Amino acid sequence: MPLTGAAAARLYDDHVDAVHALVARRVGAAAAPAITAEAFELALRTWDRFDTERGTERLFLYGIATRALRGHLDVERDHLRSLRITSDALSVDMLDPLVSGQQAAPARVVEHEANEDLRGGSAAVTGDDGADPRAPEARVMRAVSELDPEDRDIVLLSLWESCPQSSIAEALELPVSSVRSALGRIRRELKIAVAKDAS
Amino acid sequence: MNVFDTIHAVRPEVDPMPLTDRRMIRETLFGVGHDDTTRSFGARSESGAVVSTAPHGTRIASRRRPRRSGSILKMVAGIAAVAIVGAIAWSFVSGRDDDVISEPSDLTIAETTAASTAPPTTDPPFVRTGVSRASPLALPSSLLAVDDVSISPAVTGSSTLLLTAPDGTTMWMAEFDGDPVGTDGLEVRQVGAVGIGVPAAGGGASVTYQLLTPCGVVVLGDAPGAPLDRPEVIALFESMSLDGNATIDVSLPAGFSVLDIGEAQASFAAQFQVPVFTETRAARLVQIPDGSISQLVFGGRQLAPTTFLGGPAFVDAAPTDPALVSVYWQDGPTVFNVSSAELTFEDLQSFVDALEPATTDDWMQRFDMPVPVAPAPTSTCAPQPSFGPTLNP
Repeated sequence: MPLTGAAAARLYDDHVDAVHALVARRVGAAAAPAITAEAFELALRTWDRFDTERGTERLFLYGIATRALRGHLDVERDHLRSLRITSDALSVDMLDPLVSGQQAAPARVVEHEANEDLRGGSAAVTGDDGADPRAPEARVMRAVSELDPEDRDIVLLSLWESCPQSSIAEALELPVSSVRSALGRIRRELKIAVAKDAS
Repeated sequence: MNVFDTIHAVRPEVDPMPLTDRRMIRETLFGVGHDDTTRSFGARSESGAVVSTAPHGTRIASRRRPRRSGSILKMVAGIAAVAIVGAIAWSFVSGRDDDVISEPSDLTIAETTAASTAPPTTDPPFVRTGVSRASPLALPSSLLAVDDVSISPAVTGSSTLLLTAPDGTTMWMAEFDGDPVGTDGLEVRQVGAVGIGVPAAGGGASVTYQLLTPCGVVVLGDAPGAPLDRPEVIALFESMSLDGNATIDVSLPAGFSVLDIGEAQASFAAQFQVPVFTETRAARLVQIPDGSISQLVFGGRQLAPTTFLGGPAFVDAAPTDPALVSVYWQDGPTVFNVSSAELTFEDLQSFVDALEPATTDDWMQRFDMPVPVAPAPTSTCAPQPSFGPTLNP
């Protein structure tokens, strides 16, 4: 039974920003509204699959949005490959602003799986056009764009939408154990792919 | 940066959907103006629609509390107050006053015994963190800002014990090797076969008793709010005996049970900033491989059983800060405590569910922090306190 009327409108108003944000991160601002509309149309049409006992509306919609993205793989691939690290991302995400109350505090997090290939130089501030294809993040995002769509959904829901593994499992209708093991496998596959690209 | 860090750093910041697109889609789906009176696009446009990055935003939004300035500090201060006597004891035996008072997690202990209610370490690890003997720690899968990080070395020759009294209250005991402690400031009396000292000044959220031992320190912290010399405490003291080697034998009175006991192990603590919408909320995670819950509740807490991510756990039933949610549990070889005054129980489950197993090396490298070496014992006192075979066979 499709969802209609005031309940459907409420669903749209409550979640359209979050769904649009997810989609826009994956395909860019230009293509995002149309795919967001497609996702909501699909969600309302298949609303009988939503189990209130099992999950949240937001995660159900995230699952639907990722399915909608499957119909736009070329657009997504091109967008992901164009992404670069910005200076804002470095200053906000990679530093701990709370340590000693210093804005410019050095990053407290030193990753144990640091890949020397990825260390090369500071992150360049570039736009979509003319971005250095040899930049470390370019190689990573090329590898991400080549992932199996379901693997890409898992890793980007985790890293871009801050979804816990249980939420990813709920959105993608997978066992939590599968998500957990997939994240480890994907990390290994990406490292190998990036290393091959670099060589 | 590893590949996941790079992907995280590349995450695009996106603007809210343009108002015209938003309205067009809405009208396409529901018709013009359908049920649109309570949701002013104009208001959204003026305020700038907030784009949530939280996957469970609806749930969290309905439960979110106002941010409490300094609430974590209050929490730490409260725990420190409860633990003050034990901390003094530890500082006495270690000769380092500063460490323990400011860092209550520095202390204790324990090796899981048959009396523990926690799963034996040979059990397969719970899925909730996935820790194992090879990867006994857990870390967030994505980078999160941290407020503070600490690794506290194991305190040689110390152990802690958590008892449940017949009335359901929780009592905590600890023993520390070292020189004998004086009785200045204590009201001393004999209860059964043991000498007991109680701070003459009184006060505090819970009563702490000190056993008079030939060497080292032994303390008992009663449940928060429990009155001085309540019958359960007296019954417990009357069941104790102390020999010349400072061995404490306890024939538990009827109705008492051992919740957990163990020797001191190194503890790993970090306070993370957990993303919730466009804000972050503080959550503190303490983990002790091969440790015991009795070490996690240093100073004593009133625990109540609960289910956390599908497994057995305990919550602090009488937190020092009413807003504080504090959960204790064991996965595989490791005991955990996650607490926050800014997140709900369910939010903490989501936070813990996103943790991934890690080795000690992973943890040290991630935070660029080596495991400190515990100070060498300085005591020349031969008989050191320990729990005897009656209690800890």
